[in-house]
Amino acid sequence: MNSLAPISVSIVGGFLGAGKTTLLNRLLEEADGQRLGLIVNDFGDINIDEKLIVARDEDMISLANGCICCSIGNDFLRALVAMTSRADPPEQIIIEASGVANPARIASIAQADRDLSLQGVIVLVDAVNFIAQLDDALLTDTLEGQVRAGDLIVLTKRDLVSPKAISLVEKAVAAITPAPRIVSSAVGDLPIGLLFGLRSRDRRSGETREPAHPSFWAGSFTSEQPCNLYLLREKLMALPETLLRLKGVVCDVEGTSHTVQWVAGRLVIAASPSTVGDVAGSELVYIGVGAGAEEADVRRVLTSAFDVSC
Amino acid sequence: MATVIFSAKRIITMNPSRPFASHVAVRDGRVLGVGTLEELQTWGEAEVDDRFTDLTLMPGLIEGHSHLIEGALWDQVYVGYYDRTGPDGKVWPGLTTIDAVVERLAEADAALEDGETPLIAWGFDPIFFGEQRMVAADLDRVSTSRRIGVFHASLHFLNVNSVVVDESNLAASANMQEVVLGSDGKPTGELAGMVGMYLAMKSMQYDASAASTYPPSLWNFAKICQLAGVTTATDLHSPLDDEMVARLKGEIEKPDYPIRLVPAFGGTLMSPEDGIARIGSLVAKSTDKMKMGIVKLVLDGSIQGFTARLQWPGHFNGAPNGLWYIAPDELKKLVVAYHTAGHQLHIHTNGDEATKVALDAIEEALTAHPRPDHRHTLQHCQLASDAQFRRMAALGVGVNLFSNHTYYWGDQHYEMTLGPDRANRIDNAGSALEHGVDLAVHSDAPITAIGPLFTAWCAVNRVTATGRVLGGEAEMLSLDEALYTITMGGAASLKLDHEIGSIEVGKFADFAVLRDDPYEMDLMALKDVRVWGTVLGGRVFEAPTR
Repeated sequence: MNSLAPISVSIVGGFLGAGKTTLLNRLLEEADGQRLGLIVNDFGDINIDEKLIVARDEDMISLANGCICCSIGNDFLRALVAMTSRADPPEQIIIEASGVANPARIASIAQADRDLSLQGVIVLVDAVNFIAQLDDALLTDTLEGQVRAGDLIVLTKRDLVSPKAISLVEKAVAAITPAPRIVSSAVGDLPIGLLFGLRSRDRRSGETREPAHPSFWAGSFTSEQPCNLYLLREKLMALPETLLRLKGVVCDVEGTSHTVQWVAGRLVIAASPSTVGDVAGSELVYIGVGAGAEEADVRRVLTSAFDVSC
Repeated sequence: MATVIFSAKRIITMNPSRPFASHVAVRDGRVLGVGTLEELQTWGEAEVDDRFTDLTLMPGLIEGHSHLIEGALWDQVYVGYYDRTGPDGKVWPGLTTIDAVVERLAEADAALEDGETPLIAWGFDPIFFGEQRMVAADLDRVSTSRRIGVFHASLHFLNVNSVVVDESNLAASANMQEVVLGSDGKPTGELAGMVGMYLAMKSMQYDASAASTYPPSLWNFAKICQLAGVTTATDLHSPLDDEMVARLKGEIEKPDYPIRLVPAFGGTLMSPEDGIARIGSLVAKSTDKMKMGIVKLVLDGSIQGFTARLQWPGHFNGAPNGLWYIAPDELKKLVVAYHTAGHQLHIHTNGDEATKVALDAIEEALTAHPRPDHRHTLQHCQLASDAQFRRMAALGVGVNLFSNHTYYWGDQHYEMTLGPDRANRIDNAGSALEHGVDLAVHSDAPITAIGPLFTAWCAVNRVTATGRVLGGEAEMLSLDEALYTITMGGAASLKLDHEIGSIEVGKFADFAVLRDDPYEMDLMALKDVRVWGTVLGGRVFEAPTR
């Protein structure tokens, strides 16, 4: 296994027709210089500008902007291993689960490999067809499994149905999984950068980034205080359920840096591969779902974790 | 061209107009005639070959559902519970304790020269060890420095040693269903599903399906077939890209390669439009030894893995219903596309719900696009009900049943997965024939060993590993029916019954050469029939004996 920082892995799931391909097409458009690795079911559906293709074979396409696209082809695992074993692995891997797959099964691979770090599972729910599909006895358990696997549920095609219909779908989702992190949106409106943790251009300004979508809130937290990791683990248990993801680097009392990744309740703290004094203090960024009331709660939890008087 | 007349103690022809004979004449790799020596000599000058005079000839046996991976696995260490014969004819005794597994692995470890090469084993099956599970500590007794991975018989579980556990992130993944935890809350080294397969590929660089098309694997596979009397076998899910076809042909077309291969194109590996174009080119590349054109679709998982799609009342032990590998509506689109393009579909269905969905799709395609003799075939189809067999007959759909299941997993189906009623009806070959459904039976190698005579024994006796008999006598095949099923039945399921499956004028001279005559044995001994070797296209292949 390599000694580089783990590669972030995001999984996009949801039944056939829910909008996964549209989302992936947006990702490719907005990669903005970041080397993304997309593993998709079929190249045929992805809009790839032929002028950008620098190399292609049956199962892989390399783009001029550094992104690579892999089709699952004969073997999804082979595609993933090939991508992670490259001399120049992508900065982030985004996997399109098949329309009938349970994305949790794919997520567990990202959790099992030290070279990978699970960024989250986004499950798209088709606001137009979900209720009818859920009523189909052949599909009920497949759809329920997908919804349960989602760290974030995105109700797509909001523009095609009435607010009342949206609320019915939301209720159906809530009946499947308690306290879902759920937003309704046309895929075109989603803040892709935030969702996938892409670097934003104004990163250096130090300003708290304003999410470009009313259904999300985000923020950042910095501290010069050394962090008590034991306390941090304990305190992070109290993060609000609407928080989707929190990540960053913290510096402990001995001056060692650790990466912190919290995704929908799954916490991983690991020694940072780059500990040579390049980070003074701690910096964490986070994103949550909903109107934003809980951002203060996150800030309070984090402040308490860095409280030296404890 | 020279004519050779083989004599035999008995020739079982599977040709109803002359079921038995003493001699067969071969010319140009095909059967010139079957009958008495005097009858055959009327064709003119011929060499008489008496080497089979004390042996029994049957049509070359047909394995209608196997995978080339079997050949790749034989380059690794076999650690299964049952005896299994390797490509060189050596019988590897079954290992009935975990200590015995560790011992065989230690021998293999000692035989490896460097300390880096991962040690891979296969065929392990924990269901026979009761509560006892294999753990990393067991494998650490083999090596604490070399990576070790032991695949289970299903290939969907993997046991690893501490070297692999420690370099992975398994310890931090306690919430994952795929990682089995011990009473101390730590990973035991037993991994389910894609996590195990992924780590085998990533950490041990082991990719069995890639290895399956390397020449040594192809030869292993062919020799395994030859030892079992098989002259035509299948690789029932394959990408069949140009490079792979060239690699396969590089070996298969050699005159001393002892089998014909029928690979099926995996119909979901690309869009149906692209797939249909590829099949067109594959049909054009087909030869007498490698026939291409059939399409495989996998609709659900397996019964013993709890991933088959079952109708009510679902799993006996309350496990949730299984998985769709293709959404039901997607299946309809795929069936229509390949059906209207004129191709024959082989659809994997294990559970009865999957069988229903497959039959619905075929019925819809046939209603919109009637097509004579499409011969679409359901593969495994283990839980089909009487009503479903009737539907198959009405739709002209054939079935290739996984009869080896009655023996290997019958008890598990009875006690855990399905309960008594549905365990009794698995792989109901009798019902299939009763309704007039074209019937074949198979091993699904490497899941179970290739051996059509063993598979026939399963279909005749329906006995489980512990001696339980599943279902009524009506479901047990007669010897005639069973032998027909592993020859003509297999040929018909591949739409090759005009070329193979019987010893009959005009067909390929493909024979199984047997030391024992099935008609002179007890039905319970059918699995013990000894195979001398095979004849392929008139060329004699004696099996190695060890």
